[in-house]
Amino acid sequence: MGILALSVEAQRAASEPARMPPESGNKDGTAGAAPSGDPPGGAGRAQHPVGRFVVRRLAQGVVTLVVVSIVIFLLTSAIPGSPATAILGRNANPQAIAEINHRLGFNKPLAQRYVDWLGNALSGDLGNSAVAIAQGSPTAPVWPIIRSPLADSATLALVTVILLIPLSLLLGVWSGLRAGKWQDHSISTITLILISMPEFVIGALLIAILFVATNLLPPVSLLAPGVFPLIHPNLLVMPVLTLLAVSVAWTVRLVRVGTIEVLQTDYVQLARLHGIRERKVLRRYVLRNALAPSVQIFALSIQYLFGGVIITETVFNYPGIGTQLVQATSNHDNTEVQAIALILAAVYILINIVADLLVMLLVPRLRTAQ
Amino acid sequence: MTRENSAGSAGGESTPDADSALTRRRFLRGVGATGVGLAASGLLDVPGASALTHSSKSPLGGPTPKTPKKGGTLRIGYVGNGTSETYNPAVANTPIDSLHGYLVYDPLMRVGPYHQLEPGLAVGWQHNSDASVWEIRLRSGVEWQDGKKFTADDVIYTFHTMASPAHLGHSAVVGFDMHNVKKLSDTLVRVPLKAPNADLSSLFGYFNAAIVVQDGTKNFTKPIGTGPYRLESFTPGKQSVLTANRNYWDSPRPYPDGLVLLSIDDDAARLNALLSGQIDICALVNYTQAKAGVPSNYDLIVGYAGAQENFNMRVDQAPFKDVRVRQAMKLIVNRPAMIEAALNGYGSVANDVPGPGFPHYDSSLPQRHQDIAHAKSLLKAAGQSDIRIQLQTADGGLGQLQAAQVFVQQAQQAGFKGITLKVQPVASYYNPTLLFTKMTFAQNIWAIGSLNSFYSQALVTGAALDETHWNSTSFNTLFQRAQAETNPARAQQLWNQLQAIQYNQGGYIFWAEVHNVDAISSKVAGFGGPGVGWAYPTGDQRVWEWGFSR
Repeated sequence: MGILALSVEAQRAASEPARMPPESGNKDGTAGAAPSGDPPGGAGRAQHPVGRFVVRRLAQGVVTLVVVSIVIFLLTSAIPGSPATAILGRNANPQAIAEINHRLGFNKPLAQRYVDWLGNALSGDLGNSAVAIAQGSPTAPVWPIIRSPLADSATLALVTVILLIPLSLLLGVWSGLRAGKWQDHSISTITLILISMPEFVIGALLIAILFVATNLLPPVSLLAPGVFPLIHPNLLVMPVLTLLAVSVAWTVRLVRVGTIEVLQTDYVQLARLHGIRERKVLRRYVLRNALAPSVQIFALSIQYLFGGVIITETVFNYPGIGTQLVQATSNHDNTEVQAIALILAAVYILINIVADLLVMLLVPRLRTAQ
Repeated sequence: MTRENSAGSAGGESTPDADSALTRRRFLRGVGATGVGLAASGLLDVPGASALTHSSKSPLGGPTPKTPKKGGTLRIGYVGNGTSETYNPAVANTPIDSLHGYLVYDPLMRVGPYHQLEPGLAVGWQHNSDASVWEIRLRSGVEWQDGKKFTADDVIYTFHTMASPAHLGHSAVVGFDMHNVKKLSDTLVRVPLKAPNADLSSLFGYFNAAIVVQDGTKNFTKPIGTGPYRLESFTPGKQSVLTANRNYWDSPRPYPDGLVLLSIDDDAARLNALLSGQIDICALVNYTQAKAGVPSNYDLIVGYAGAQENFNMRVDQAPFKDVRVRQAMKLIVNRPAMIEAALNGYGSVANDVPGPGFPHYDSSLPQRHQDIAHAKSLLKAAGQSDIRIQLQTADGGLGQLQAAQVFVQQAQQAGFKGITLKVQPVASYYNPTLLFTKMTFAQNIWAIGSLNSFYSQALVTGAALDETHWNSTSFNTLFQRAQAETNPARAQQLWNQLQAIQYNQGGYIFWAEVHNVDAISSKVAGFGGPGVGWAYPTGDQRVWEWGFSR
């Protein structure tokens, strides 16, 4: 799934919803107030816990990224074979391999190659495609090669997420509120079926229904290079539906559980006993607190959708970054693999930070407590 | 390849079979370098284009080809090779890359659907009395796509680029006395050889060696060829957009005005793209899908894929030191059953010596069949009734692993319980140290370009892929004589002797020649050769023939 570095705060928030609804701060007197250990009017930084949090998480992110970059570099170097053997095939002779390795600079020590690579990457130069250089191209920058698949994957992920979040919240909360009733059972059964079906089965079913049976949509997303996918929305429908079906099952179930947990908390009971209207209880107390753990689930889904959807990309021949990475790996294009892996790692780390931040904004206790 | 994939007649279910595409690519890349050169008669003198034969047949199955009409944009879905795709013939080692070559460039020699050679940019080959010096006559009146005239300089430059060991056509010019290769006129090149070779033209039908590039070309990102199409845009791993070269020497070809080549790696997605009208030709249909058939307004074309599958025994190691043990192994194999199980039936039965259809192949050798009783008596005589041997293999694609499993099963059914299987990871089996050539009992797939190339790469002493460790001085001498023999009848006799030795005593069990299946829309006509798929490296992707029906 990628790099999962859930912060302690986020994990706590995910497992233990804040007991205090944000706008009823004083009702049970635990949240909202400044922690006793914090000197009043203390250091300015203490008054901006969100800012401090962001700085700390960004710093952690950078460290994580450096560690990840080392792992990526070591792993790509450790894969048996090389661009030279990939290009020369079974007939690779030592002389030809040496010639190509020299052209690629593989004769330098590993540590030096890593430092050169990282230095260049930091200055925005992701290097040249190792395979293209080995094939004799004078220059073949990686960025133009991976730019379009990145954009295509981002589009696919974004469109899916835009549909996924409201749908999961709607169905999850509704199912949670109707827990034990037929609506809940229906949703649970459907999501269980969806969870049990791998992406390629869902993809194949959609192709069978929307192409073979009804001929409504093309079964293959043949996007010309450089063409923005949203220009041909019909090519996006089946991949998006597939991903939505796969993701929504998990998110709905987890939102449902979150909702049920919040419904059972003392403060919701108390609010109801106070005679607050049910609609208000739901909106102010239940939804917002159920959302906090959901944020992490959505973050995981987005990470998966952005780069982890190789099977869906393959079924529909969608030109995304996942397929690009698999192809680069099978072709031993080390520089391309490193560039894609590094970018994906950075995106994953960033998604984690944003998710943690969202949780913090949703749960006041986290941004006020030390 | 053998996994249960079905898109079948209903066009239906698709399965995420990226791995099969990768496997196939891996395999195809592998065989690429193993065969060099297509054999033909040593002397082929064709006075100009008028003598061209356009054999537009599909040799094993498919509709009758018709002459296409002019116009239209032909869209082809193909197994791609990711960002490694290239238009550089020096490093092209997959079918899509050889297709690139044939779209934009021209070969010295074209190859027909039955492995026969036809003139390409070279129209005549003449040698001196002992075949140690050759004169290659080139087609006149050919222009490069940038308007320059095609001359002997271009061919000589191409030969020089092939002198680099990293050029995949390198072995074709190894025998050249390169410093003395001379231009005699714009259309005549003189090539002195280090040793006589009566079969020179056969080396230049094989893709990497065949393609002629323009004098001075170093950068292949915007290729200029003499070929049927002009490259307008290329995104490796995605698509090539090409327009017809209306100045092509083989007019009225190409028939379409344009051609789009799309990389669609997944077998099911590629076939679905055809069935939904997104492409006109789906190359490389997987065998399970082919078996299921296609709807009525589509057709399957079956042709020779150019790959020959084998088991190999080291004749210098026990138990295969004893020729009777080798003969027994050859008799254990039920070839048709193996083809059915490992290739879904898409293969022709082979006869332990490779190259049916190629010049000098000895088709008079009796087809070997399974004969367990005979095998048992041979093993008994050799004191190996309880033979214990491990067959080593890897899942190199194309039913290789399945064939090994079938072999062990057939052996065990015959009572040879000591014959077992060991599966190695592909990467270590086919690694640069050529581990697979060092094993006592192993397996491989050959894409041979000619008998000449196979024998020089597999059977002469010091051969690069010396799997059977044959190592016989008298055999080497016989091979040199066969190679240098300028009298066709005497050459055939010598080749027959070589093949008889291998058939009776050799360490090779060749069990199948693999087929390629393409699917086309009924709108498509004039596909030449064995369809459009997988002919690399044997060179018969006859792209200039394709177009739309009238």
